[in-house]
Amino acid sequence: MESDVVLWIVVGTALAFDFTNGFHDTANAIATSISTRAMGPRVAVTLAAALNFVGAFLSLKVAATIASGIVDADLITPPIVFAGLIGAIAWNLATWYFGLPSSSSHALIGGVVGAAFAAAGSKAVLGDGLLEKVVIPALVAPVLAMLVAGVAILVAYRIVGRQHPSTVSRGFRLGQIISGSLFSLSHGTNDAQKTMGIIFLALVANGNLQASDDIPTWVVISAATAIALGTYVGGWRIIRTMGSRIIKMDPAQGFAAQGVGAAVILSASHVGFPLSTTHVISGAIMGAGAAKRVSAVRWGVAGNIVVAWVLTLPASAMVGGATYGVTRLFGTGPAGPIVVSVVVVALLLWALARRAVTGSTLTAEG
Amino acid sequence: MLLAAVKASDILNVIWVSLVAGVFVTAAFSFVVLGGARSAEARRNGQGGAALWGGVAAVAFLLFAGVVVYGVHVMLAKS
Repeated sequence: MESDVVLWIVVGTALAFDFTNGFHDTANAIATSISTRAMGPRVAVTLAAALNFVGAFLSLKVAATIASGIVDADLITPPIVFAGLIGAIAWNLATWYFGLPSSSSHALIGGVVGAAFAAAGSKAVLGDGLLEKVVIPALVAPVLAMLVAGVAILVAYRIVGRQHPSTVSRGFRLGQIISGSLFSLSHGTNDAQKTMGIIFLALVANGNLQASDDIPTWVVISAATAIALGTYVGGWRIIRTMGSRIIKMDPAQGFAAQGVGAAVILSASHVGFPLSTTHVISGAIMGAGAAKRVSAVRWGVAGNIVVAWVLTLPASAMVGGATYGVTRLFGTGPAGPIVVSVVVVALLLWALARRAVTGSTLTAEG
Repeated sequence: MLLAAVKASDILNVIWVSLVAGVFVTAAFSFVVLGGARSAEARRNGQGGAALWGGVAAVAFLLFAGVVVYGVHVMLAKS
């Protein structure tokens, strides 16, 4: 009975993380399309939400086992997963507040690493795995995307250079609808699977399922719905940063950034070296801007984004570790996760009420 | 030390495949835009070559679409 309570708290928290994941990463797929007016804001988020929902059903292999190869899987318990999810949600909300794109996957890994470290000490964390799956990809992704987008936009300008600007812009805006759609589909396939994997593992750990069972339909539908709803709500602060604060982009740059971003992510995935969508698209936007004119990139904004990337792992790890510590103050039962959940929900409701009073709610139009 | 954790060949593979795919997909769509623009211009001015440029746009679009379809295939084939 007690373990069932913890299980359902983990399921609820995983779906909340999935929502923030969609909310936080909406910008990756649509910021450039909105910025170049390829699509209106509401149309863009609706399309992205629908494709994230569809993407979640495309592949049901539970490949995204949480932090696999980074923490010792034998030491992972539902309270550690819960604390890790709280760490990831906290980092996603903090970076959203400051309008900074950062990797939700890295936040989740950081949260779980911090919670596992707090629970079992340094033996729970596999340093090589952390280096191989987080640190090196985080270094490679933005630099590679920047380089490829820089070359690609120069090629594009060379090809269409003498045509009328309005004709060129119209053409690339159409292309952005396709490349943005591919991005959203890919995001749904990738990121909703992470949540499905967490819920599935929690169900297996609790004895509700065997490891060899298929993922229950309700898990697939709830994960798909949560990421789609999060995407539809849209993290407008991050959309603004990626769409217009890094560079003022034209449709050709927007298409090059999105097209190269999708190509880099899928190429890396194809050769077995998955990269963060956020790191890739941010790097591609900077590359598409810098290739036209280095001073076109607002390097101060870019620097803030890089700082957020560097802090993602340690910050979410600290929150994950602290959350685990707090839950243990209430013993090993469900009391700790219940108390933490109530406090987190109360804080969120207080923040929402405060925003409503001050009238600072950001909307698509605002 | 960093490179020791990941095979250098993996990183080189990612770099060249990404470079080829990224530049190819952008170039292919740029030719769609170029072909469409030149074809429309030729038709508007009553010049020859509209069909030829239309053909360039169509072929380039097929190549672009092929890359998109292959991308979806890669997405689905992930293990």
